[in-house]
Amino acid sequence: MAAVGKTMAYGHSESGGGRGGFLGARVPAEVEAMARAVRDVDKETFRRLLKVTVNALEGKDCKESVKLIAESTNLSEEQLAFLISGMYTLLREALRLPLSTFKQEVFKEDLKELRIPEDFIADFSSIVFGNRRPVSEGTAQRSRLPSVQDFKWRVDVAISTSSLARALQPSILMLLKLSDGTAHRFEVPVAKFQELRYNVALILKEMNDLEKRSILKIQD
Amino acid sequence: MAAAEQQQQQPPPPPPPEGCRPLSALLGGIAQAAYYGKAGITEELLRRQLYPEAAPEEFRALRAKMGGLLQSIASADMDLNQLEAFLTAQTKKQGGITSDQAAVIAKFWKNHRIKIRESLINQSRWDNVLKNMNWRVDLKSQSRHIDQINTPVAIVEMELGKNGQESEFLCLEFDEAKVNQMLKKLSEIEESMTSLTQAT
Repeated sequence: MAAVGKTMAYGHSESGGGRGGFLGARVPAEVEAMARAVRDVDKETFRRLLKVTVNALEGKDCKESVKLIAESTNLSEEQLAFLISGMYTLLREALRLPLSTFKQEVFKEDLKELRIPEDFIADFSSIVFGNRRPVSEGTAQRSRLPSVQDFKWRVDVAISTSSLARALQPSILMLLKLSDGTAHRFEVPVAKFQELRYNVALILKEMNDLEKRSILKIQD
Repeated sequence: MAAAEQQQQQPPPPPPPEGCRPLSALLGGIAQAAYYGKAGITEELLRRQLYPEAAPEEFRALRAKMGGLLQSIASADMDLNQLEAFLTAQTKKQGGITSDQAAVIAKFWKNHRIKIRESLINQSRWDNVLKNMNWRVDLKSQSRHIDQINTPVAIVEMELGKNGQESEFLCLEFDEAKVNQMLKKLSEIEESMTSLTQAT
């Protein structure tokens, strides 16, 4: 296994006849190395490694789990790192592809080409195509900007202030909690509120119009 | 009665020191400094520009008196009735104002009331205020992920600022569902406010 670990540095550019599978024409070196090393891993250990990988894909911290696995098997932490990194890349690439076009049979075939044991192919497959599909932060590259997760509001009426003895002025306070974890609090004067409402309605109308007008309807 | 007649006429072109134009301009200068946040309007500047023949102490007294009156009027946000009553009382006081001056002040307040009120309300807003919003709607025409095409996304930029500080720009993304949710909440707010203003 130490030898296998070294081979990873000189990754082959071809695998199983050089067919371009879902991993592309050049299978990433760590995936190849993992494919070779994983044949010597028992099922139990493999499943634990798979769990760690899925956690990593979901953005969770895995240091502790990896340590535990290292303690209970005869694999070194370095070897585990190679295995996990290969499994991670494999799953990450598979999860990027839309389920509408990427079929399970193709995925399984590609893994067979890499000579990954059948059992393990089934496990990989259940992650990608089953309902244990990870909800990951890393693979969903769509959002570049935060979105609103929670929106709280309050209407206040200022009765009297140090500058204005008789104010009786309503004002709206908004608290926006965003998907990036930040919260923003601000006041909206009544006139600005009307503008805001008008604009949001306009945005919705634009979106509806765009969808109707769209000529780029791609059907499967 | 001659004085009453004079009040209804337009002021003559070369005004005496207590005439309409310098006083009107003085009120304007006071408002600029106190309510519109304009810096650098000193007493000396106003005196030189508007009342060059007046002695500094004399001018100071005039400015203080006018400033005080304007503050009373602004703080109470007087309507026309209250204003008339107030100014009339001032003309009858010892060391008060003339009826000419009362007319100038009344005219000034009619023109500036709304703006000054808005400014005073702003002075009590210490948190971030929504100043402006810009937006656009994007439609992906090409994407690595086929199921993302044809879903419009709104990009909204909100300018949030405090008095005298640089604005913060908040950039947000909304899909159609979120825009809908937002609109619903805004309608709730609108309803709440309408019932509030009807009650008062």
